[in-house]
Amino acid sequence: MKLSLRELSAGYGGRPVLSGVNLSFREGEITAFIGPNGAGKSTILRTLSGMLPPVSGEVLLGDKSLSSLTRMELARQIALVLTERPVLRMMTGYELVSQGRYPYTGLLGVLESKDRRAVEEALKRTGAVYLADRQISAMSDGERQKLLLSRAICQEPEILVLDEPFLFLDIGRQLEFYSILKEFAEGGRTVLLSIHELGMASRLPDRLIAVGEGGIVADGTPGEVLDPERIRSLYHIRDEDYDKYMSRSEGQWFIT
Amino acid sequence: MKKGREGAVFLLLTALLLTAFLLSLGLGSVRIPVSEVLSVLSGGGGEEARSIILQIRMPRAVLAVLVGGALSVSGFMLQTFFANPIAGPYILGISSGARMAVAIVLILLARSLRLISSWLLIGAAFAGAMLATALVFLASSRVRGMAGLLVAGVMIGYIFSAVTEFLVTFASDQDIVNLHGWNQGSLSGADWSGVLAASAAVLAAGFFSFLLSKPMNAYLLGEAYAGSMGVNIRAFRIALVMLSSILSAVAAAFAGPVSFVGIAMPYLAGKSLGTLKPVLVIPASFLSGALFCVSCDLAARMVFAPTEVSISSVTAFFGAPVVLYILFHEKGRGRE
Repeated sequence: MKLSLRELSAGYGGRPVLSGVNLSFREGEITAFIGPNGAGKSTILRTLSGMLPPVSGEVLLGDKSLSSLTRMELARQIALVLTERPVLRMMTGYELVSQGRYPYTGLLGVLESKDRRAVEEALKRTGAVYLADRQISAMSDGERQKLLLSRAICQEPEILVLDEPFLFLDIGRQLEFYSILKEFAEGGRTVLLSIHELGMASRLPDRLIAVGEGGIVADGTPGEVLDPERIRSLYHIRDEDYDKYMSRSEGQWFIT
Repeated sequence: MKKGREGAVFLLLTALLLTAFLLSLGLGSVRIPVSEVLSVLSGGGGEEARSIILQIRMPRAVLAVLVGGALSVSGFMLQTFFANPIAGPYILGISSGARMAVAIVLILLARSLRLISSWLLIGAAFAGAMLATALVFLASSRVRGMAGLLVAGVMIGYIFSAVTEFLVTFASDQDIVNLHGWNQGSLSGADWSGVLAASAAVLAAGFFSFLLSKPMNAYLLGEAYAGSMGVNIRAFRIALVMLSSILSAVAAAFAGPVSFVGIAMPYLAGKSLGTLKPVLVIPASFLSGALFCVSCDLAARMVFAPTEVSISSVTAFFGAPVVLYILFHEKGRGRE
């Protein structure tokens, strides 16, 4: 299902952080948001996933406004992986992932066989089967993140939204995580995420959107968006720092 | 294997609870053998045994079941709400709030109303519990970590206790007779009309708490994730606070302050089940809380007989070490 934003203003307490946003996201694509801290990456992700009501304008899923959907309808369409990492006591990997079945289970949340199949399928997809019986509290950040992703996948959403999913992962886990997302998107679903690190942003996503100065600054392939001058002004990089530390080579950003 | 473990825990808890219940009917200043207890329960038995069991010991034991179960479930709900394993109705001052409201009603209305109805007491206790919960909730947004919430709750409890002491000191003798015992935390003086009211309130609130199992489970991941999976956070939080307040209010209205049941028992129930899934932990908390209170009440009556100690001192003796254990071994969620 197609997600689009129409004349959207997003922010907190009626004060927009971003305004005049018109975007539509294609199925089967991974779109990443970049931008400096506080520019509104999380704000836009929270708004387009229905967690935060728009200040004005609309978020459309197909031809329906998000605000017209019930909580359960929304949860069956959009799943989230957030920056916050819950500290969980006495919970196994399987129990965490099975939480994703919330919009499908009955009154007491008891898993039926189709739910168990979905959980097992999601664990397989992320290569997290070996974590099913282990306690979350004894896991690494990468393992926990994998389970939170499995949880979102077994929610069977059309749209997967991830806020800074690579933040606590090393490069090996980042790439592993990304390839899972890629496979998920290739099944005809939409993946939206925010990225902090420009190295990742330059290589991985199909589409890159730069957020800053209260709106969308650039939108295109990573090659189009990651123009040195644009990055310089978007992140307010000081001239002396720019000359000293940053160079561009074959579409990748380095700290030299 | 897991299913087997869960089944074993429930079987063991039920068996122990039945045993403790029967013992508390048989033991006391007059010892009644188990065989006679059973024959009284099935409608026979001697005149004296019948009146001791049916009029005195059984309402008390049933009340112990209700109070223990209610406190334990209430504690588990507060732990979910505050994402903190050492939240409980006693330590957060909620029991003290309920107790203060009951004291006010007893002292102010004892003269005008000859007989104070159980429902009036439950209602007053509920109002007091809600007031205390609201204060703790306000404090919780300003303190960090498990210990911070604990200290805030204890202080709020002290304020309510101070007001209660003040009221009791200046109340007339007749009112103090009502308050005595109850004020220390005791199940003595339980009668069937009170038990009936308490069981109606506890069973109803317990049932609705159990129905909250599913969103409570999602809430373990935190508010944001729960919301994204379809939980109506606002409605859920209100329901959670109301139900846990009703449960701790009933306990406070009939038994006065009873300490630590609400923290120690859900924790041990979760540990023995090996999960925090509410659909299992809520019933297991009820059973273990009931078992704990029936056993502690029996100990309170028997250990120093004929002197009876308050049930709260017995529950504290066994419960407080568990709380210390949790404090040393568990990390809170969310605010760290």
